Amino acid sequence: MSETLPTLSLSDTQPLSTDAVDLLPLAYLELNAVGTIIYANRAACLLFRLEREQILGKSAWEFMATEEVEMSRAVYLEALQSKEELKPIRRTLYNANGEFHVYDMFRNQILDAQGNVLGMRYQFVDVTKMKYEHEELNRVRQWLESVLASVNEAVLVMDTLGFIRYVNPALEKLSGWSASELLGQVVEKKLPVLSYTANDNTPTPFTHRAQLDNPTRGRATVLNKKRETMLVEISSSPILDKERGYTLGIVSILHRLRESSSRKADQKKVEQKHEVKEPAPETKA
Amino acid sequence: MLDSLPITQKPTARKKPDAIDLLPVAYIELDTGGIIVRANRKACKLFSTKRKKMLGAWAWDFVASDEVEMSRSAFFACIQANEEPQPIRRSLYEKNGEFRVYDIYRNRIFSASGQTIGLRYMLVDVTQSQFEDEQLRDSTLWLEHALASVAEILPTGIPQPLSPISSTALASGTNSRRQPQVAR
Repeated sequence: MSETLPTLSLSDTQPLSTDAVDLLPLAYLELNAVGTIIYANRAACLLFRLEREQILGKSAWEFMATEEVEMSRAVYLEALQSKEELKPIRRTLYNANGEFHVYDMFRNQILDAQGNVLGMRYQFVDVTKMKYEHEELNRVRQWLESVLASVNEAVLVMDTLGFIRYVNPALEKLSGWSASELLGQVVEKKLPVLSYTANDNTPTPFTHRAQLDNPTRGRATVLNKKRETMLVEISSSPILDKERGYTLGIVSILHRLRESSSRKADQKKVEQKHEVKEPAPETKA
Repeated sequence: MLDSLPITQKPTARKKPDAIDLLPVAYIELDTGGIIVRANRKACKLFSTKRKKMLGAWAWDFVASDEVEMSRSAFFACIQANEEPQPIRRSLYEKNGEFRVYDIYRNRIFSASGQTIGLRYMLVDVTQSQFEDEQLRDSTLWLEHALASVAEILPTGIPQPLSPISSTALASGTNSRRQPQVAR
């Protein structure tokens, strides 16, 4: 690719820049067709912590993190031949103090009067802090997800409208649905609840609204992906942003119950009801 | 020297290609009254406006109305201060009515006698990165609250963390504290 480009030395390419460019608030460089720096403004000298004479005539890749050099060189040669508007790129450069910084670089081609490409202009924006914060935030998010994933019980997280926002592997196993099949879906469509009995026997219906208002716990018959019924205990709690007083959604934990134990529980419940209706003779007395 | 010229002379047409005009980033110069006295090609493209219409216009004609007052007072404070201005973030609207967010890098323009006669602005579009950052911040906060709810209802509690959560990332840059949006 490089054979097709004009080979220009530093003296061949005169920088177009003027004093006004020298005073720009952002670092600015001009490179010739082989990547030699032919102009650097004051902000660029500050960025590299070098005198202008120490920058001019050097290859741009001398200031770049080693692992990016080869890729960057290839991209540069491609950009010289591009007919389209060039998108910004992100590169890691180091200065004379040995400090690495990450920059978003805005660029365009330097053309001569005939439209031949002579080199490239670069405007640098330091995004080191922003990138660090973004990565840190990503790490926090991944950590939170991994904690939720490590919960043995099936966890289902919904937003206030009932759309599924998160499921852990235990819920995938329980329901038969994969996370990708569930995320963004309405919970009632994927995991319909056929019947529900609150543990405290309150007559509150098992609705999304009810779950948003208060923590609930009860036994339910739910359909899985194969449309088989399964008996589960569902413990739900609204997700609260206590600082701002918002309800953000609902988190539910589904615990599978064995049929036999549930039957026993049912039987016990029936017995309890019976006891309430017909109090023992001592109570009457 | 450019800085020794009266600022009102700057927008006049130049014969040969102007290096400022060819910059890959939008560039604007304002005089001490906040009037646009120079705008390069990228700036004209950014505002979808012809240079003639931009030059002489008030800078805040292009700023979101809820930011005008704050932006104006910050500008005049900057003109009067003796320090180099820090980068700022502003929402500007385009001709089609869409708002975009810009990081604005500035420095002062001095006269030959060393007086501040205006400000240079370079505008970098950060709409996409800000949107992604907000989405990530919101979803992380959301997950954090969800985990707290799980801990409340799990009989055994949540597993012990392998490493402490660094809340610095969540705490930083939370100038846009608003209700998290539901990402679907």
